[in-house]
Amino acid sequence: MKSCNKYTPKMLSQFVDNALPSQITRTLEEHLTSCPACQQTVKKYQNITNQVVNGIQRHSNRMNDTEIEKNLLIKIRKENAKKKWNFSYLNGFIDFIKVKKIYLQMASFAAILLLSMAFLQDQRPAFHTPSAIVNSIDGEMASVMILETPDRRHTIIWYKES
Amino acid sequence: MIKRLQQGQEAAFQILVKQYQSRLMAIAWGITLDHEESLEIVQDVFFNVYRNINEFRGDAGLMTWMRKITVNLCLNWKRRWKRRFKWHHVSLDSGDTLSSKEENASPESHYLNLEMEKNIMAHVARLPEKIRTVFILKTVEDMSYEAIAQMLNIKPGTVSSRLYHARKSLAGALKREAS
Ligand SMILES: [Zn+2]
Repeated sequence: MKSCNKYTPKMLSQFVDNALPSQITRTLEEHLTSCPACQQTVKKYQNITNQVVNGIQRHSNRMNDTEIEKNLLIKIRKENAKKKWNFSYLNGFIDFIKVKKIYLQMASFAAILLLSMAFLQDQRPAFHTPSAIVNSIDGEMASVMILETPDRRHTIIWYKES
Repeated sequence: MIKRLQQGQEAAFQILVKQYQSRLMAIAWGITLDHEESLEIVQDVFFNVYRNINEFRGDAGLMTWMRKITVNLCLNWKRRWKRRFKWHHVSLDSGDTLSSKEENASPESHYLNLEMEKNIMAHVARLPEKIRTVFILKTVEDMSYEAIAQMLNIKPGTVSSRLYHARKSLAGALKREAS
């Protein structure tokens, strides 16, 4: 099929999204009636959208529709119970960091730890996939994730100010 | 509805879940392509709504609000880490060394294993996450370029480019598959 130099595929993609100015949309609609190349591209793009929508639809049809509701109720009850026991060890740790304002020191410590590990593991890529996420804590001002590397089982404390 | 939610009525909350869960699941699964995680995310979205409904002023619409929380949770740095971890997972019990095969584990190989070869979603899984996110918001929610741009804090032109990129990649993949 001959290609068409009147409209770029990107414009046709915008046309499918209904994102072109109305004047251009009208001219393009007119053009489509007489250009098989553009017609085919538009059909192809629309077909992709339909297939994806169907794929996602098929997936949600397999969903047990009471699962979310059930788990949510459990979670809400847990949360309400937790409010009574508000003092966990880890939250205390985050509070300690907040009070002492040692974010920077902690971040540099983590950086040094990572760098020295990369150095010790000569030749190997600096970053290893963790083998386990041991824990993760969200604080108001910072998040911490504790990971373990697979080969030497180093523990990394990954720290981020939020 | 919102008033009843704000009063903490459990029945109103159950209606909310029934009404929106499949829409939010479609977004979450489209972006993460991970069933368990999507369930977790959608639960978290509703939980978020439950906790913060009193701060909701209704100016943007409930779905807009929940959609934004959903996308934020999908793109949350910790969740992305965990997903990467899951896809690369090496059990501590299965010995120490990573084989090259395992090191190459990726979303697409994960999904090819799930009999999705012939499914377009296997190709969607291959798209870079930021392109997939835009593509899913357009196809599933039919959001305007402006709305997507605003939600993801990018330019409308970037939305347009990412959508075109997604379509081009998917069309190419399907063509290769057919031939
Ligand atoms: Zn043409």
